[in-house]
Amino acid sequence: MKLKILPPTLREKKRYIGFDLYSQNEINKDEIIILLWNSLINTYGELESSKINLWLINIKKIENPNRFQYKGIVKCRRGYEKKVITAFSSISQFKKKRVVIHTCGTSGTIKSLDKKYNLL
Amino acid sequence: MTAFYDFDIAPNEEIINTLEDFNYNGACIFYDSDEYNEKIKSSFLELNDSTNLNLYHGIRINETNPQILSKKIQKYYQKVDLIMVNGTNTKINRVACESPKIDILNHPYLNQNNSGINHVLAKLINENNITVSIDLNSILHHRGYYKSKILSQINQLLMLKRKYNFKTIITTGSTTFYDVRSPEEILLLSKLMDMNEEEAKKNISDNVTDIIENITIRKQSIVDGVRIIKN
Repeated sequence: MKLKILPPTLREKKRYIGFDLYSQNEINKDEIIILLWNSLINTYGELESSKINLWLINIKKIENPNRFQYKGIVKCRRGYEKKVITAFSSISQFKKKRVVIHTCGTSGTIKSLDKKYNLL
Repeated sequence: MTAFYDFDIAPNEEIINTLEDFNYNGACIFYDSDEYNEKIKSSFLELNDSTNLNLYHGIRINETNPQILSKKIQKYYQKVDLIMVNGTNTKINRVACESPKIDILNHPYLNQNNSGINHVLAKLINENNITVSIDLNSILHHRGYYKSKILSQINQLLMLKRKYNFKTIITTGSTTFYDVRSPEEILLLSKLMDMNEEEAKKNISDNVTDIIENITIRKQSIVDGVRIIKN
């Protein structure tokens, strides 16, 4: 039997962060998840990263003649947005190729984030 | 609105365009002292015309011999806006701190077991109005043991900075598009070091503005201490 969903008051408060990822080589969704989690764990350690509850919501590829570009949304626990952005901006390499993540903004809903930055 | 500057970038049009997108006010391009000539200066002027950023240019001296360093400082002093010396060893750090003609001492902590600055050098830096640059590239391109070692060295430098009141700036040291970070990201990354947000903000705005003021004063001056003031 499926568990009943928690009432909103007991649910964890969340924030959505939109980002642009630029890379020298092509990266798939699974690799992006590994990249983001590794950056969090390398910067803040296992204990602090476990509190952040990072979740990749969506990733889409953007046509760019100079390099591979992706736009994405991640979900994290409210109050930890700055830590997530710090960890993301400390990313510089993935599989010996250059990668950079620029965050575009944070929001409480996916809808408003998409409206502002066109991430879906 | 606060004006943000990235005072160590490579001569690359893509970097400059990205900085423009991130609403930076200005940047300083550093050329290698061995490669600097009139041709490079004209290419800088072309770059300067093509952008809305306030661009400055300087030379980066990467020497291990103190005598050659002194000669190079003498050679380029009047030719460029800024002179930056890479802190490669303790001798170089000492010579750089003793010379008032140097504007920026870049990552004095690199290849050292400590910050590369002691109480004596800290006083000299303050007296000679030299700014110490913290290069984010050195933090971002290392992992694990090396990253934590560099962070602890920077923290020692920041402790001395607070005690002896010398100026520091944070630069990205961008050589490619992938190294460029927005001012907001720099402010957040500076929290990895022993620095609060206000201090970090000063490091990419106010302290850099002071360096720019020094450039204009130097350009106006005939000899040290005497300058032409235009109405």
